[in-house]
Amino acid sequence: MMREDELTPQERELGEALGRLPRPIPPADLTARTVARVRAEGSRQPGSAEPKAPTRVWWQRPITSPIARAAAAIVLVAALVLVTAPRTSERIGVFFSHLLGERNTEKLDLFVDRVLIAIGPANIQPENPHPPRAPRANGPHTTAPGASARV
Amino acid sequence: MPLECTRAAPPKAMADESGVTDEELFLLVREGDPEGRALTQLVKRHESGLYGLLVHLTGGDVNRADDLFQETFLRAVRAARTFDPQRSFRTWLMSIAVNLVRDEARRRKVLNEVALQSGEERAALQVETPERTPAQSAERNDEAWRVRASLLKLTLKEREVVLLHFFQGLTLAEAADALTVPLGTVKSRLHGALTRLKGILEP
Repeated sequence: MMREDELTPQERELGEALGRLPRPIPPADLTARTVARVRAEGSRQPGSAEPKAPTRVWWQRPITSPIARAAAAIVLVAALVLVTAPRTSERIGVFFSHLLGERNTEKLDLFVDRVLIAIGPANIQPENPHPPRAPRANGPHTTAPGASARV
Repeated sequence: MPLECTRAAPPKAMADESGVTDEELFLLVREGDPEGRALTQLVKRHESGLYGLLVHLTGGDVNRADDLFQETFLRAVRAARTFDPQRSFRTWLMSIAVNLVRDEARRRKVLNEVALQSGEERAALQVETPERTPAQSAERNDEAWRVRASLLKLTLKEREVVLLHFFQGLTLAEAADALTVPLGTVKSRLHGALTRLKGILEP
């Protein structure tokens, strides 16, 4: 049992740290949703079904369940694997061409190609990183301009 | 030093500029409050404090705290007839909230296993503090993060008493009232919780 009115300096410090814990900022519409829910409950007929809590829409809620998080990760990885497999990506391409029409798919294809070319490694590296050496003027293996090196 | 001095010191009977106390507002709600003004005012007054308590009690789960916040007021209004105006409304509300968290925890049985929340939820727990230098802010955030993490290692009962007293600023007697346990129990739980927290924070 603790001593009546005393805290050790360490406990006091700990208490102060607890008092400084973050004050989470409530969602802007929390009051409005709460009042709406309470008032809906007030106007409810006795015996009728309980009104559902007006929560945030599902896509605005973060995934908090560990199982759901793992499932989401699996879905993302599976999607990436599918897209990188040549056969599947071809099928996806065919599906989109059916969906968007041949012309639109072609335009999209061209656009993606341009983007890939623009940001691709070919444009990052210098065009010719190892230029061929100029032949020595009187070297033993010098060939005349235009002549084949092979004999 | 006296134990009571260590708490943050919010007012006991909350009243804003209008001078109307929580208890008076709740009596208006109980009598009907057709336009919902009294209820809105009451919810606004307790929004930050109650929501904060629920977030910390649920281990940082903002969605559960959101649901429990609404449920707390719903239960309070449902049980309005049982409210004794001589009693503090705030303590009564905290009592309902704590009971709801306990019920929910019993249903889920995972409260202590809740992992520290992801970055987005950590971001949602930004501190409402006056301006500080970035270094001071970082130090405070780090301290808060460590304290929050260690809070999760306490039992729900220990967490309740620690949060009600130090975070919500309830006196020990008020905490005992909210938890419907004797004052001695609150003191021993608080002592036990602080000893455990010390052990966790200083390995």
